[in-house]
Amino acid sequence: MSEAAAIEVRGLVKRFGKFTAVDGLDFRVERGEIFGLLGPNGSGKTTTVNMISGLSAPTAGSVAILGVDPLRQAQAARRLLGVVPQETALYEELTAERNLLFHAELFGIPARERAGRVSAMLELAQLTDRARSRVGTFSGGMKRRLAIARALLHRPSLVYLDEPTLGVDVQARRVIWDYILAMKAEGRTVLLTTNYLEEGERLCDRMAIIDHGRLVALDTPAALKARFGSSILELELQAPPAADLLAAIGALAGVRELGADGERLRVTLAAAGGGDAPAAAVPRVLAEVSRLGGAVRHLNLREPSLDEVFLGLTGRGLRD
Amino acid sequence: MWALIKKDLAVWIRSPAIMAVTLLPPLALLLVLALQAVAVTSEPVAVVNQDTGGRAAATLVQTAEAFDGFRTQLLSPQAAQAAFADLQVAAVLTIPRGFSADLAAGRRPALVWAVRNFNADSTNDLRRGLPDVVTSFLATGAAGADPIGITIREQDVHPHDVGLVAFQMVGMLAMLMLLAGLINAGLAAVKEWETGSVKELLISPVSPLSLIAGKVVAGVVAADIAGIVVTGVTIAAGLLTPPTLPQALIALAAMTLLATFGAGVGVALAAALRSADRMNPVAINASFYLFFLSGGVVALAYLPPWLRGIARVIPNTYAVAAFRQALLYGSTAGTATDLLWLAVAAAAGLLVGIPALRRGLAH
Amino acid sequence: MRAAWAIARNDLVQLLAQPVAAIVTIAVPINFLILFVLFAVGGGVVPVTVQTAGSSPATQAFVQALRDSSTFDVHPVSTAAQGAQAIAAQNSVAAITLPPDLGAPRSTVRVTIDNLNSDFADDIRRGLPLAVTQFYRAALPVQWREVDSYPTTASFLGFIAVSIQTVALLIGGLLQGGLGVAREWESGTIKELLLAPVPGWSVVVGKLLAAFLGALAGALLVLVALLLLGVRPTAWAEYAGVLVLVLLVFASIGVGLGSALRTRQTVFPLAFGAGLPLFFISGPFGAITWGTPAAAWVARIFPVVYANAAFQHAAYGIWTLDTSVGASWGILAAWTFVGLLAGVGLYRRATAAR
Repeated sequence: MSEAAAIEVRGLVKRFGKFTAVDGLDFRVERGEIFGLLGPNGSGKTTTVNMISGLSAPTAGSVAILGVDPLRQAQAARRLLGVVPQETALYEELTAERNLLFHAELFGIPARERAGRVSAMLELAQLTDRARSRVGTFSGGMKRRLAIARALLHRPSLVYLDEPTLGVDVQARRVIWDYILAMKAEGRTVLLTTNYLEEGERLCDRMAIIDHGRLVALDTPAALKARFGSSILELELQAPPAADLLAAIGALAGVRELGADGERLRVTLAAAGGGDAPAAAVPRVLAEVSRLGGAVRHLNLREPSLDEVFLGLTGRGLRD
Repeated sequence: MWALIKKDLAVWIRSPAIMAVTLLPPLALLLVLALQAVAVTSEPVAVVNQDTGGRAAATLVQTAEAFDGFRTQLLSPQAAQAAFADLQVAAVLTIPRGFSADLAAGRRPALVWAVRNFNADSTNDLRRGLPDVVTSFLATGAAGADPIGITIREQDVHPHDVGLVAFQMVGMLAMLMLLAGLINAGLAAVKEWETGSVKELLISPVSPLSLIAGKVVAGVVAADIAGIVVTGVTIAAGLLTPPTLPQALIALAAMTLLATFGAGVGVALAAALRSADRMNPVAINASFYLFFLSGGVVALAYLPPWLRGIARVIPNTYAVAAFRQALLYGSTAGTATDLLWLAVAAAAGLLVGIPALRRGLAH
Repeated sequence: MRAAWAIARNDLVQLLAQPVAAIVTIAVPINFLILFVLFAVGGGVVPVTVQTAGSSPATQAFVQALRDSSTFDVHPVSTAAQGAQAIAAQNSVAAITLPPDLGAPRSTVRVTIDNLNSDFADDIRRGLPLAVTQFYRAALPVQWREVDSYPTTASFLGFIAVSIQTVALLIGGLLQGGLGVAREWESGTIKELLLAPVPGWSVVVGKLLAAFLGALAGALLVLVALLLLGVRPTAWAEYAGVLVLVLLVFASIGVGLGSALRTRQTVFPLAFGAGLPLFFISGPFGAITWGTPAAAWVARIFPVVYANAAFQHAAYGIWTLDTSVGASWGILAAWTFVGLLAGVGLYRRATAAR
């Protein structure tokens, strides 16, 4: 018998009245990987995760975490799961330490172990010196760290983080990323939802992109880019281009889209279907520019970003 | 300065929560008082007439039935006993056998008055009711010549009586003005901290003094609007008669001064508490207690001497006095003194509030 | 049960972490009590001055009759000016002047009334003729004998105090129960509870326990105030029993309300909105059967009226309800059961995986 997956989602459907929030999702999260769930607001991301954590019941299909049904074996499932909610869900009037102690009590951690685990987690969150301060006085980053420490307190096998860096400054974001990578290093499975593709790219082993409750793509970040991205050539000319130059470049083979803004040109090259096709169009573009009397002041060829992958896949940006 | 007043007023008009916090407590109190006023009604009383056929007894029964302090029902002895035991009636008046004959013979027959003495108030109503019935009975002449020779001549201080609800309304108006001043100015100040807009104000070339003055004036104007609306509604409901212009001006002056006192205390509280969550309950409780301690809905004379002493140093007392004169009794007598004291209180409020908020803004 | 205890403790720690808010919620019923103390004062004895001409036996008898009328607080003065001054200084509301020929046929008692409002003025207008009747009582052709049902009569304040105790339990229970749960939704911490490996009922029990203890503090505060006002319960065990049952009923309903409403600003008005009318229809001033039948009918649906009756019984040994003692306790117990069901049911409904 094969080992149960960290998360197994099969034919998952969720309807609210006539509205279908999740429409037949299938995916499997392996143990020990960091799995990202991406999608714009309203794509069905939160509903999916609610069903995985047992807060919501599927209309059809099934969910299992480490082989456990989160609804029927709720208590067992909750012990396996550590959750870092987006709104952090901390008791603002209480101290950091009290928040952790309460969690320890709720999760039935034996009294003699509690103090040790709480202080270890405070240390992990770098909040030891603020242990007796009210959470209400903390910055967004500190709250997020405390919420992460709380989720890890009962040593879950699966950690779910909902938009872990939303509204957190750049420095705090790096710290949180390090925590997430450390979780993986300790052998935990991590599920995260995010709006930031950069974040998904940096952290995730695999990413699922969902839109309108359906799975649009599922692969490693690199493969997603290779498959759905387009390279972009950015040009800055000496003078704003004439209309005939724009028409000529637009008509070239391998050029998919063209945008102009003053002396700047943005040339989207045709999808990187095979090998060197996009780069091959670059000399042709440059040749056209000099043929029609233009002069290039600056040139940049860059890889597609996941934002553009996403735009290509769903026809809309992540944060519309 | 005018810009600040306008901004704070605009915020106020768009904040139903602030209006609710301001208007609900006085309205709730008014509801309580109105219910209390309605709750005081006549009590059910059974009359047992064992002197069937006696003419004087029949007259006494009629007199009791006509008395508006009781809801009287004539019952048999057994039925009356059962009704009394089952709490359907509060008292039973028994007219003894041979009552009419004894009366005629001058043997001074005795009525029996069984009273369910639950508490002093309802019991006293019953205790006072029977002599009232007896007096009316004697006045009918059914017991011969009426021995009562004293007449009472009444002279009233005010030209006409006002209703209890209108009387209490005016006390509530004072509470409303104080609370509105407190909450409006206080919340406007607290908001600057909560939204962080205090920074923008501090870097603007406006002096802190005009900033605070802006909050106080906006708070007072908003309070006046609330007070005028409430008074207007009360007049429209027929509880108050429309005041003459001088009376209206006196009432408005009293409102403004009391609200100014409230606004001064409000900004001081804001500087101390700095959050609406803490500010609201403190403001509501503070205005409740000042309302209570000023005697609230009763006249000063009814209060024990120590409370009367406290009431005399609470600005509400003087506002209520001015409101009563101007809005209830159609007079302006004594209101100058009231307004003077209110002005002193308003100045004191500002003297406390403005420096406190200024210090608060400074760091 | 372990989780329930942890949740209750967590709530109480939070309550103590915000002393201002805690004091305010706990003190709410005390404000109510003070309001009614004022009522009792206003509806009580009327301060009047009496100017007498000499001290004839008739004059003395009349002053005594005024004192016995259970209406007036008599302050003798020697001149009419003093009487007028007392009114102006708001130390009295009426000045009574007795004539030298008091008691002679057609003698006239004059009274100046500060008719602040019709209610206060009518107290004086009724009280004076009663004093006159009292003055003539020995000479009247009719006499009367009062038979009281109980050897002592509770004071007005002492009597309504019992209803205030009930309404304090109602408002305190609803507020503590409702706010404790609504707070979890407002702060998003409900997730922490929902994702913990504990059954829903243990969350309800924990919340209930915290609400119970929080509201109990308020109830005890009211009790202390009542003791200071001179209320002396004769049956302490009965008093404690009603207190616990009623608190359980309303704390459970509060937990249910908090789960259904999820915001504190809706719980507050609802608690008061329920408390005030129930206070007034549930016989605070006398038996409900003495008032309007419709109000009494509505009052019988709710537990407040039975709680009031049981409290009156515990405090004064009187029974103010036409429902028997046993049946009333049965209804209170049934309400406790219904309250608990509602609390658990509404919480589970609010948190069910849907």
